[in-house]
Amino acid sequence: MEALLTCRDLVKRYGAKTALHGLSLTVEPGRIVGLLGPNGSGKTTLIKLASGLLTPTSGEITIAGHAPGVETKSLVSYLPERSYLSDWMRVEDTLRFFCDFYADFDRRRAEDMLQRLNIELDAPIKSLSKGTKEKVQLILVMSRDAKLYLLDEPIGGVDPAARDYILHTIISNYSPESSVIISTHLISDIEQVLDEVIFINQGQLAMTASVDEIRQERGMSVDALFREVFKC
Amino acid sequence: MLGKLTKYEFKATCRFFLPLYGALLLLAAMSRLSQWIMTYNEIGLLHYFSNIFTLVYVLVAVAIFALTLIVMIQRFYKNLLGDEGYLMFTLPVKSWQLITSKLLTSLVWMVGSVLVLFASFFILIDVDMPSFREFWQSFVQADQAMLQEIHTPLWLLILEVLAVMAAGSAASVLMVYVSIALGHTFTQRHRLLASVAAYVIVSIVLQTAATIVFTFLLNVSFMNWLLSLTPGSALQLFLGVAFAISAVIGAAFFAVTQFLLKHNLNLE
Repeated sequence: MEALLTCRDLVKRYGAKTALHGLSLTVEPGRIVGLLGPNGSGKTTLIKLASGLLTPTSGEITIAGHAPGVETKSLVSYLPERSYLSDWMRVEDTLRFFCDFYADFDRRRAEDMLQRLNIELDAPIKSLSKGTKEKVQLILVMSRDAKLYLLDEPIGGVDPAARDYILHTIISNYSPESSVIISTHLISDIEQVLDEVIFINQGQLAMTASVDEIRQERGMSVDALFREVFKC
Repeated sequence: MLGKLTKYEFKATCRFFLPLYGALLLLAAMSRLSQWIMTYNEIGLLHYFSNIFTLVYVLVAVAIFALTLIVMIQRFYKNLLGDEGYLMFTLPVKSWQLITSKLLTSLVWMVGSVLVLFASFFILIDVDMPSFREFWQSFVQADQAMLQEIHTPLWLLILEVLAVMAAGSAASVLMVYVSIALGHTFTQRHRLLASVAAYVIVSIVLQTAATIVFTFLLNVSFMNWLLSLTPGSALQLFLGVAFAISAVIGAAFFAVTQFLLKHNLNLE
């Protein structure tokens, strides 16, 4: 099957600073991948390149065979690590917005999840707490039937109970043709759902491994491996 | 997709404009009403209120025009280059569609503000409204006079002037957009300041270009050629050149903005 995400010698510079140093990797369909690395290792830059928010300085990045553009944006469901909803909207308006722009948006699924987390449809976005806004965004992003989900720090500001529910929805929602890439520091919390990990450091690939391999062959958790690889 | 983007652009901006438009019309009506009552009955307190209405009316009128400008800047700056940009630039739309939806919306509010101001004027001031028939007659007369004098019907002339105004307005909105896009390209911090600086620099460049062109044109043979034109063709030439300049500059601003948003986007 065709890889969902392919990077070849990907370089991204911001002025004099280099965020990605010739990164090459592939993500196959049907995987939940942890994108892990210390602060400033290039995780967010990689996700922004894949979502089309940044253009590479050199090298190549493709999503299902296409360079980032309108086509890939309709395949990619991206959750940034900040709040991107308009203050003037109500929760309901954001659903309508997603319905209007994404053909793969499942409004019913979003409404179910909102109800489950006790978020009112007519609540103004302005009135929501930071954590609730994050929940709404995650629900919107996960209610699409996308090919590739890019989640940048998806559970940072969310309470542990909601965190479990959200992780549950991530594994139950995605289909065998799609993949989820989760970037986070909270490794132990998401470890249970991951199939694979990609460790990056200083803009380069440090290692990729399947979680089973780490557990069985090395006899350690991903969290423990992370601490070993990135020991300060 | 352009239609949907424009729809949301209107939804996001109408909550600023519609209440103020309503307020302006209402204030004009109140002011007129109090004046009308006073023609029958001189009440001191009413005189006081009438003045207040007129004063607030002027303030709201000024506020509407300030708002047209502020909203134009803020929608581009905040919705595209602020946090909301993370959503807007990951929608399956092209960047020219994002710019166009914002440009169209700004232009519509500019026209809307002018129309509402005119409407409120007619409410406020006791204009002796000619009947439509009289208006039409004088229009036809003027039309014929124009046709004789400069060989151009009045309706065509009006359309041409409107086209020049539209192109000029679009170019001035796009100049704001390109300045903000430039301001965001060259610096991470002080982006608002950099945008203002970019605007000033773009203005200086345009001024300089205009000065150079005029110095070239200010020679005897060109002036003689201009004077040899009939008034009609001179007018057509003037309108045509004005339109072409706005269209070319506007298109250049649009192209640069689109290029920067597409290739050099770097959201905070």
